[in-house]
Amino acid sequence: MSKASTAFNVNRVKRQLEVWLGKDNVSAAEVDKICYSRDAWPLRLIRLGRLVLEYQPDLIVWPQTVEQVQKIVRLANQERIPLIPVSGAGGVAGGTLAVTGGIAVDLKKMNRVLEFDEHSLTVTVEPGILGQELEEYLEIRGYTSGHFPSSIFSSALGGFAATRSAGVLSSKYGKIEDMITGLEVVLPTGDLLRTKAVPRSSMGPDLKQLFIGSEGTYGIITELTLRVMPLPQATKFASFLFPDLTSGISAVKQIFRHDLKPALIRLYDENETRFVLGRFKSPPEGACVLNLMYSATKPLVQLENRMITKICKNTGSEDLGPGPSKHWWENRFDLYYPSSLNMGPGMLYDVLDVAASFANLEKMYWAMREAIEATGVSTMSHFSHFYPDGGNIYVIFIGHAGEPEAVETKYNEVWQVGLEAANQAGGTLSHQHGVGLLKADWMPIEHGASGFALLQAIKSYLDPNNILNPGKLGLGTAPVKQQKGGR
Amino acid sequence: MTTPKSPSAPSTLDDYANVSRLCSLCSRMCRHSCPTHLITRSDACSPIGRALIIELYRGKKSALTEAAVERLYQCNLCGACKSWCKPRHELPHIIELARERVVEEHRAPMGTLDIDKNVLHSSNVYGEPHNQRFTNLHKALQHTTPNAKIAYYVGCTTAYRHPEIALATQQALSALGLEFRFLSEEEGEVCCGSPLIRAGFTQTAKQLAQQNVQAITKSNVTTVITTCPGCARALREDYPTLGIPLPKKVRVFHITEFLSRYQKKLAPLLNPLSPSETTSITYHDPCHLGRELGVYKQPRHLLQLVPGSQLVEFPHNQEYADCCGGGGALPKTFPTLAEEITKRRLADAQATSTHHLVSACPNCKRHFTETQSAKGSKVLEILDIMELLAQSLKPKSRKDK
Repeated sequence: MSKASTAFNVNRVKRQLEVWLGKDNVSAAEVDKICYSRDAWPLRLIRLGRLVLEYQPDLIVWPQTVEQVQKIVRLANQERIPLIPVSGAGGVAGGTLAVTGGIAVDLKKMNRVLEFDEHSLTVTVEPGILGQELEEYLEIRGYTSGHFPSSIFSSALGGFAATRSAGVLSSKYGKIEDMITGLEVVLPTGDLLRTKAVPRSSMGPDLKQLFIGSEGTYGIITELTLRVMPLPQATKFASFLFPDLTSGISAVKQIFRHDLKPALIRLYDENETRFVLGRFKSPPEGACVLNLMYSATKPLVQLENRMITKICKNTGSEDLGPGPSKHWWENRFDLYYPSSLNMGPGMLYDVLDVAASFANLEKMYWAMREAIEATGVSTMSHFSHFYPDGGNIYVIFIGHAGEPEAVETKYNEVWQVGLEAANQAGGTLSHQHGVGLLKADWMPIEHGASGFALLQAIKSYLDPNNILNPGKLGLGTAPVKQQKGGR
Repeated sequence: MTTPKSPSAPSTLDDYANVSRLCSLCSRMCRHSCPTHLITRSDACSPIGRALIIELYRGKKSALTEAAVERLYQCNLCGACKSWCKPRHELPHIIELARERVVEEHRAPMGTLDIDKNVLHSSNVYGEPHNQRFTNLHKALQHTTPNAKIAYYVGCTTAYRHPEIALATQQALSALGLEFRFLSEEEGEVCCGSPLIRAGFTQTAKQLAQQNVQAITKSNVTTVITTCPGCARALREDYPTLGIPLPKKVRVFHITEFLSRYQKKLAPLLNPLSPSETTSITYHDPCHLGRELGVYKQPRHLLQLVPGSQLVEFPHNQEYADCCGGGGALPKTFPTLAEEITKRRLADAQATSTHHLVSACPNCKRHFTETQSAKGSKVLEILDIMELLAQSLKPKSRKDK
């Protein structure tokens, strides 16, 4: 069985694509290819900061219709050309980097809102609409998607679905997989798959969930239907300072056991608490701040505020008022701008986003922190997505390692020890950032031999020529064995 | 790290090395605001893409290829990226400096060469005869006072394409009893140089700056007013950066800044535009006036002086306002792209259900009206703020005959 490779006649393919898409929608220009050789993966940015040129596609195309996407996919399948679906390229794991050249299929020109159904509270969109663009569209009409990841300015809806993303208000609105009611996907053969946009179905497995989180390896998402909600009537902020992490987590458990789901719930460890409280307060050693935002109807906001305040006070916390939480909300993007601190020469940084049940959560935190700090970098962490049964941890690390090689060695070491610790503690190795290239080697560990073999078999069945986003999720890095009776 | 332009030392691309590097590595926090990106949807045609192209050039990883030059000149220098940049990086200025290198390497796009040629031959961007700069303004000239301390610097677009703005301005100034003069003598005003600074032709811009500074100095005025934000920015901010400042005693104002000091006197002179109903006005913030000079409140205050006026805002307004499409020499270099940007803004204006689309810049008016005309429909009444104020002036206070 052959697999996709870069050994294709770029000029001939380019000419064909120009006929279908128009000259303005195809580029082989060097500077364009370099601009598509990055996402927001810190390691790629660290290397790009040294002007390391890598991961360039051979061509970039901007289709505007699903029919054009189908034509591109059929051509690529016939000619064994790798295709890298990309929209916002706001991912942090290298999911849209061209590992073996090929064609970057930029979906950002497919950015229309196809239908807004106020009766059903759903919106149907094309994959290239940016999160911010959709939110502006909805807000003007009095609604919200409720999906507010930190990459909302740069990421698009197709990317949200493909990476199984989560926004900062996920406790109330859910994650992207909870929001999506229907999908349209172009399969690697060029065939179209549409799932019905319905509230729920028990007609066998939920096919759309196969593609949510598949990072473009199983198909190219060309349409999504999502749930929306009316804009909240009221919003209120609150912050509580707990003497330690254990009491903070205990309060969070109580909040969920009382059937309360504040829109924002973020518990910071002692290191990040010092950073978050900043101008507000100098916290005692070991203290952890919990930031909350209630966002709902007025009576519900009042009720959440009253009940959660009582829970937090009963758990030994100090009420800090709305200040720290409100300040965080209004300045929440500050850390996402590169600075001389994280992007200076010799610096390394990134975030490990893991999750575990409450039974393992605190244990996992300490194990990861100890393992990562032992490499000589600093950490600060927060728990920003909670469920009745557990939550995530967002372990931010930053350090200095000097020479470029040392930076990359240290970077890889931190990830290795951090994820080993998380895995041993029973956690998942990614809560919301996805796999991309960064965590590709961890897929067999996460899913086990049988689970990963199943993912590989699905890939092999859907994409026998391995054209779609090869190498991502650890899939399709080697020729895939032909399935008997396969397509 | 903030990156203010230093008035004392003309900056170079390398002075901004750290900034362009950080912009090139950004998680694309501003890309969604770039009007050229929103049309092309290409990551290279975006602030971050341009910063990376500059870094590749600085690091000798990539030459200024045809595509690289295109991406740099596809920027309309509207500055929207700065509004979304927490560290307030001056990327538009860095792009101007990169364009200087493009010009030095004789790779400037054809459209910009036309501007340079026109200015060198005729002292205006349109290549019109210099001796006809004030021909369309003869009515206004009748109301000038030779030794007035206020000079009205008209600018190329008002003089040659939209003289009605100058006539309206004269009516407002005369109604307020303010004496003013033009710099219309033989060695008077020439192009302010703003389009050339934006396009990378700094040497030509310096020549113009010297001529204008000389004309203003010779006129002995203490106040220069202009209806063009590009001219105001050039005279007030770019000339000192080029090392050719105006005399210290001379203050430069955009007309909206200047007239906002006369609000109490102006208000009683204004009539409702419609006798029976309110007039909704959507105000478009010109990029140079808003983001570059920080003038947001004054035009709105002036519009609200008009009895019966109802100010409607674009969803993207003030610091976050979208460009009209006319900036950064884009209409000369990439006219289709410029037009698409203009159409987008016009559509947003229509969505506000407004009667009047009002700006405070002759270039905005020009691009809005030309694009609307090309579409074959006159949906919006497109006016400069001075025209709207002049229309509102009570007949007895108008001195335009």
